[in-house]
Amino acid sequence: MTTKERTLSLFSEPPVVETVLGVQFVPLKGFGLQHFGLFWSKVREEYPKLVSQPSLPRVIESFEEKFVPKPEITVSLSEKLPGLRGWYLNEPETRLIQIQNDRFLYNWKKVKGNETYPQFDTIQPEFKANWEKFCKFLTDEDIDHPELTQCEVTYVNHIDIGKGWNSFGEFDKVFAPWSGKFSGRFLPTPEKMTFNTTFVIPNKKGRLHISAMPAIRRNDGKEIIKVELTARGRPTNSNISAVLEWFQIGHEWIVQGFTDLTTDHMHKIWRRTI
Amino acid sequence: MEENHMILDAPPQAYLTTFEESDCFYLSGSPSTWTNEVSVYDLDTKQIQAIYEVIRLRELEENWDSYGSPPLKVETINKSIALIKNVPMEDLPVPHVIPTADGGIQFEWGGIRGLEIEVTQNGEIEYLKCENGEPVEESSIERFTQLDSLLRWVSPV
Repeated sequence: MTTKERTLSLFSEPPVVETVLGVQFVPLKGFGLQHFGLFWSKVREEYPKLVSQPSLPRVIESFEEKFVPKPEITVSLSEKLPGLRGWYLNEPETRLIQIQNDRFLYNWKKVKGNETYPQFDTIQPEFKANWEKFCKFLTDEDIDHPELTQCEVTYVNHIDIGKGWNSFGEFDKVFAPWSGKFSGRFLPTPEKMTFNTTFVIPNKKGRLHISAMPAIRRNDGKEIIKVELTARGRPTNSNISAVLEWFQIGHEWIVQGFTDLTTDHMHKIWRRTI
Repeated sequence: MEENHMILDAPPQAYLTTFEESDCFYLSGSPSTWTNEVSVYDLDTKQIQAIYEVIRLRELEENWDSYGSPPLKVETINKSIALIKNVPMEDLPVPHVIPTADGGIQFEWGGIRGLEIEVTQNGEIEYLKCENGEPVEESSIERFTQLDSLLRWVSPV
């Protein structure tokens, strides 16, 4: 997509350090321990490292119960592979495929810190190629095509202290909804601050979850606010076209949500162009 | 609710690791993410200072002490950070954070009753209690729950 065709906000130097595109599905019947290794043989040239991890809980956005905006986490009691997830990492460890018997995730992340964000339009086709490779693998192993239950898009941003803000007393310089003013004069400058918020994507297509928390980056010890945005919801069917369609929705909500959440002051620092 | 599935009313951020699950310690925040920040919201300033000291040790290169000592592994640093996050320091000074010649990280609290806790290069955690400068007990730490009694040994500030 060219810059002229793009309608979403665009930053030349966005603070994004990681993206995740993923799907959840009904636990695969017949998917066993051997399949982690067999799938590795299909991707090992590009992803030479395989690491075992504990499995992730299922997270489903539910709209059936009123006043319960939090996602539900379900823990299967009947899985044959409790707790097993495969991490397939590429050589510079900038790309990661995560597989368990009810999830498939594709991550991009910065390693050195000075890499350019490759943009959603680059990452999404990479997800598609790897997902199709996984589905073909399942077919070859006589395992049914996954019945999808959720799609997920996550962006992790690092907002460095010293770049547009210097303390939590200047939260208002970063986050547009925060006024920075108390109604009285009793409280001093906050020492730390964190928040979690959710937004319903219209027509019950899903939710956008935003969290911000103070953190220290491990590779340089820099103090940051970590801002994580996750859009999650149910695709209309289990075809790749429905997944990509949902990813577009999730991406739009993350980009526009992040733009709405943050101030013009920070947009200038991140060099907003659209 | 789906049959055979238990619904837990908890946000995904609740997914975190314990000392025993340190391989996935860096999965902070959303469990599907991969970046490795240290969340400091629940930490006090002494813990944060100690974590800064640990992260600073990443800069050590091969032969950093001119005696051929290795640089620190990322796993050792991560485990050390996990340890510090589980050390309540209200009544303690910030420990001295010292790299060891065999690739570990040692935390030292001095005083009449002293304590050294070392995260070794192979991921084990060992401790040494001292009194008036003399060693009185040494062993390994298997669980964070052991830390409480160990830290009570150390002389308060």
